Amino acid sequence: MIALFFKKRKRVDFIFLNEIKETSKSVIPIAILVVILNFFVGVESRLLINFFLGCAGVILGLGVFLTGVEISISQIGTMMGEFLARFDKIIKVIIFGVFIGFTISIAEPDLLILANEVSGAIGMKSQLIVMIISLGVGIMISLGLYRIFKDIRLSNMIFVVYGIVFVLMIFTDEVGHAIAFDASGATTGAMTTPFIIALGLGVASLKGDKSEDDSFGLVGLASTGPILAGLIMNLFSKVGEITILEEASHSLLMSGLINSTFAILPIALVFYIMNFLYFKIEKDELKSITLGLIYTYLGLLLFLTSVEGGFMDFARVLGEGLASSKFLPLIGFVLGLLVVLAEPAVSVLAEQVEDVTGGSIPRKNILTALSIGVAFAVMLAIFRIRIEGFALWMLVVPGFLISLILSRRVDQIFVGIAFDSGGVASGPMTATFILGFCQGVAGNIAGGFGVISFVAMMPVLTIMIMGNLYKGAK
Amino acid sequence: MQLLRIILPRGKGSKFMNILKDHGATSIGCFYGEGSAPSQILNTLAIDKTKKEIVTALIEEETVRKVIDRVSEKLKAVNSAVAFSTSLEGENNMDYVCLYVIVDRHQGQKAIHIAQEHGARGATVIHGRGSGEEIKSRVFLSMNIEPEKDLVIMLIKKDLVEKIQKEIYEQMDLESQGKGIIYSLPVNHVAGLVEQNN
Repeated sequence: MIALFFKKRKRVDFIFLNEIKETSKSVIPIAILVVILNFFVGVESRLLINFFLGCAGVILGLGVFLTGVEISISQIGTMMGEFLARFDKIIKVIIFGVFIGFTISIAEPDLLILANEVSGAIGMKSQLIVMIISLGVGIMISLGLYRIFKDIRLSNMIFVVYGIVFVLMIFTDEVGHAIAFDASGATTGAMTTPFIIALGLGVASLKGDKSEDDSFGLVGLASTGPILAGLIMNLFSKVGEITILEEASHSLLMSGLINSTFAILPIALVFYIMNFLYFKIEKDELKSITLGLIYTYLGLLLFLTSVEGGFMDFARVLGEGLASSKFLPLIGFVLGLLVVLAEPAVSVLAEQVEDVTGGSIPRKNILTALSIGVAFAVMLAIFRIRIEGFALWMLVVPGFLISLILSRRVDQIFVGIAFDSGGVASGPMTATFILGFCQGVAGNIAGGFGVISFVAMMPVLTIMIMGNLYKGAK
Repeated sequence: MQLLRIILPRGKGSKFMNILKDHGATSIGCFYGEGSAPSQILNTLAIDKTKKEIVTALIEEETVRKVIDRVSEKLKAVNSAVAFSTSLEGENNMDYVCLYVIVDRHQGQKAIHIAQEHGARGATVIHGRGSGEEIKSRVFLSMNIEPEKDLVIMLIKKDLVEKIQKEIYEQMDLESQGKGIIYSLPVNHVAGLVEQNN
């Protein structure tokens, strides 16, 4: 018999053990922080127990989810990317891009919730809002793919897109800005982001030498779709009030079930149909992808249920309890530092970056930059709640402007990673823990508006700064 | 001069690169691969792939033994790692050879399965891209499309290699043009392996 990669000691293979080890590293610090904070707040024990159960669920769910994503969603995305790279006409690429972008975001449950909230403000039916925003995602994905084919520099394209966003922001009001950026956060969910990353990687991987530069950036572009769509809708609508819907009456498990089912269904369906018609992959591989989809689904279900059940209310109570604390901005900073590490898409992006660059941009660096970015974002969001007249654009516009200027200087791969990380940082953990915390601090639900846009903006800036440091080190 | 290769779990590469540097190795490089171990349960559940790092370096004949000993000490702690070297000039007299299979992307796993059926154990896959006379590299919309490849590395005992090589060659139809190639290199020193028996 032949060389074995194990040592002599018989190893018991615990399934998912490594992944769970990894995810506990990112969840346990949050739990420790919460225990410390709890001394000052004294959250009732029911919520505390829920929180710890939630932590356990997140560790397990995230571990299984990430394993599943790696062998299913990422593979499917790459396969579709490679498939459309072989189209003979660019128009086919564009149509496919619109189709796939539209399909994956129209089913996003967060988007429907948001649309219901703002349909009064915009004066349109919520279904129509969902359609328009999804179309925005589809068009931007198409443009992103077109860019890769036509060798347009990412920084140039981002420059133009954000230029348009800024111009539109002048003509729209604060409510419009909040809707637009929140819509962008809502479309880049835990499932769509890894898929879009993989799609971009699939197309770029066929480019040979230049593939590294073009590997990232598709998520960043896709997340500008809802911003543009939201601002344009706001431009043509009468001003109304945002109605905050009462929590839906489903049980937790039910809402987790709905969320994860709708997140995975479109991608899975499109894959099986395309596999039947075009890919026709080997049986072994099909089995592995199918199993991967099941892991992804179960992991996501456990993750979302745990996050919603354990974190949302708890974070709000924590925020209320600490609202008058002197150290609140600092607490927000530490919270941001830790919470983003448990964000599913963040691990996926960091891993993909490490893979594509062969380790020269290690995952640790990406995670550090993201952590610092989100930490500042949460701190600034708390300042915004406390200071009267601190409008959204006062931070978002200069932040993006500096990023855009830096994007002219850094290597193109950092431009892609930076704008992608804006999309990945604003996932379910942010939407529950951070948002809940800020709502608690503000004392009302509307006070949480804008947090998402900060979380989407700051990591872009920190990654750009990191890219600049890399350039200096060369 | 010897060509040393160490296959490690992800994240350990930099440490070993430093050890090699201390021993005067040159041309030290590191890249990523994917390991695959023959575990029935993990295989059935499709989670049998582990991430690996492959460190390569050129090292003097005299120091290689010392380095391998030093490395294998560390390997014991690391678990599921392997180191081996090939002499670039002169004789190689180990019982093992290093088998390389280069095939189209997604086909690497099939080659591993065939090898494992015939007695091979661990294998590492590296993703790369290829070019060749038979492989048409198409240019489409200013995009040069190069075919993606899987490079499979396996350490195999000398008396098994011929059979495995033949099986892969036949079952994967490597005879037809542009399908892939298979070759083996002799190996001089090995560390981190278990003595295998038939």
